[in-house]
Amino acid sequence: MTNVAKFDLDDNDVVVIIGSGAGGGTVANELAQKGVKSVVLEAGKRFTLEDFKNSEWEMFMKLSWLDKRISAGGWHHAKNHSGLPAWIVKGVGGSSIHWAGVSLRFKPHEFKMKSTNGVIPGANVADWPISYDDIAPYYEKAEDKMGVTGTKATGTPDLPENSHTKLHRIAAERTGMTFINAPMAINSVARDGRPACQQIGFCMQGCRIGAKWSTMYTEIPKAEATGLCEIRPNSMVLKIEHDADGRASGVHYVDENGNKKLQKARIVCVAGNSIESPRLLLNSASKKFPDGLANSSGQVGRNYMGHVTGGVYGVFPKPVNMHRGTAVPSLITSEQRNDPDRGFVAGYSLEVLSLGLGFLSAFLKPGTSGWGREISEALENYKNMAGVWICGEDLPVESNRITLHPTEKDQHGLPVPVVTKTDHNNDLIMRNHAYAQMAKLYKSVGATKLHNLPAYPSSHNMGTNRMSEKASDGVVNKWGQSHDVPNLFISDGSQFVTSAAVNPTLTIVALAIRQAEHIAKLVKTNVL
Amino acid sequence: MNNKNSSISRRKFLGSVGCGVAGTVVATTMIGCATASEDKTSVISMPESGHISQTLLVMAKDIYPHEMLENKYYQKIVDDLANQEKTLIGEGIAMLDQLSVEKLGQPFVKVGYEPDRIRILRSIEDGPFFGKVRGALMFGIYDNKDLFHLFGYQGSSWEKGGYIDRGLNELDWLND
Repeated sequence: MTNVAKFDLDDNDVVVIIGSGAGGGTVANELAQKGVKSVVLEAGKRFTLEDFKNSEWEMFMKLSWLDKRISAGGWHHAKNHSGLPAWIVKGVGGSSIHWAGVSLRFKPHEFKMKSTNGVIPGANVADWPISYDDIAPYYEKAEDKMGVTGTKATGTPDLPENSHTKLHRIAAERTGMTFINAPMAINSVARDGRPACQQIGFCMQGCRIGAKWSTMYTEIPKAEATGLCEIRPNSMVLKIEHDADGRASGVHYVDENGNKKLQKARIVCVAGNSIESPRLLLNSASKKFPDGLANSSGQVGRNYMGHVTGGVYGVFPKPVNMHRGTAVPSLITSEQRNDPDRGFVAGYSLEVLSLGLGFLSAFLKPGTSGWGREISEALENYKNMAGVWICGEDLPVESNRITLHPTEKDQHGLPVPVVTKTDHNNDLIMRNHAYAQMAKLYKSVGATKLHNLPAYPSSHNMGTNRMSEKASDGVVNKWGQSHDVPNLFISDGSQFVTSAAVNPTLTIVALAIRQAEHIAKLVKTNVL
Repeated sequence: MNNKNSSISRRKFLGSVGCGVAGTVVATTMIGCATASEDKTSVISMPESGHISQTLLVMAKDIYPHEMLENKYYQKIVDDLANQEKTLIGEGIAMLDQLSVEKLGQPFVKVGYEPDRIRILRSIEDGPFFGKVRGALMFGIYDNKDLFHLFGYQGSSWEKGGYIDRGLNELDWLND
């Protein structure tokens, strides 16, 4: 690259973006393309495609965010994944490095869960301040940007069928369930300087050939190539500073050499995923904002959502070889609708998901009791197994939240985040419904044994800085802009109001494109 | 051996081991909260290494029993662990034997009936000794590319061009 930008720490004309994943990386590039300067502070390092090995545990150790975190509350993570509430990536590109690539839009009703279902006891459900129609054009832009297969935006074909998909397609036909090939942000034909998928598998270990969209090798280098965006890897943000008027004025961080720095800012965009983003706002408390920055509503850190999830793995009489091909090749979508007659509100999708032998041995029965003949016999049938991951709408609950530990500190001296979550009753009913549907599905194609798996540490983290119409109900407005601090934006999934029954990345990217357009307008007109 | 001390020590060792954040920055965090902890107050004498090795082998085959897997694979995994974690493993074996003698009148390695051994292992599965042994086995067996083929798993594929032209959709036992 010839003209990589280098901005001065005192340059208070830059947008400072915290995090470089699907949200932060997209905002950086969209701003750069519109002539707006930015500095991206990323806690993780830069990886190259050569760093990506086809090995589950090796890549887990290499890519994961493993800073101290604590799981608390009633969910099984508090016991079985006590130090790993969420499974996300620390690196330039963030969790877009390990996402599977599933790119489904929310359904229109999924933006209006409160008006659809009314008040749900024990939950803090609200409508989004935007509708499907508001976001639809940005979904189309996101699909084009990310190269989503089978969409009008790209005109590219679906990825080819593998054995894992064939089994589920036939099972869906036999049971009358709705089957779809997954719309994937994985090239089915060479596109945008990246190759077509070779069906390697290991999508969640970093795509070795870059066929899957990740900001790591799309948005980030494109932003850098404009000469308007500087990426600073290995830069952990400590605190956002504000001026006497209560506007964000700079960001304190520790640089790659361990030195503390202060980068001045015109605008700050926070995109550190749904645990780090609220943690940063809480850690930025000041005299003026004693409960944390942008937290006059008291909603910062609250309404933490994953998805209602779990897995079902069936053993079949003959080989499936689920590991051959993309990690998530297809979905069953019959239950994505909102139909309270089933005993629960909101819906779920069933995503066909291959796990390798290493992960399956750990997740088949998480916790200390996951050993013995039941486990070893299941694993001996590895090649005859098929499986799905349940992706159900998780209700926002105020007490499911991110808080700061009163005494435990991380390597930077910052209070460790505590992630407290307890399943809402709706979650439990929905999960059991999904297990029953899966039993029906798998029996139709001759499953001899079924394994129901509890939730994995979540890669879908949402809701802890939610959007709202009124400042008293949430943290940001319909642009992801803080109600309290006008030049502070939330650019990641923490601005979600509800979680829908689909993977969050496409919606994060669509919102980021829309937000960047708004920020660029405010910058050009000197409003901010 | 002082009985009072050893029972306190055993409780601490096998029982209420906390799930604090220390030690979670390892992959074993994915399988539970058992984390290694040195039992500084232990007064238990160390078993001799041959006995440790034999007992670990029996334990390993109870944890992940596979007829198709020769003993040498199990043995290498547990012996490597015993070398790395001498105190934890040595004391763990001593405790396991003590428990086995109390319940069944003989050291663990001599208990011939599998369900009896499993019952004893289940009673210590939350502790750091068992957690370490199980963790080593889980990675040593199921994350070991030399053994993948026994399970029908093919491991790394990018260097072979993936599966696009290599058996992507071979499933022929179900018909449309």
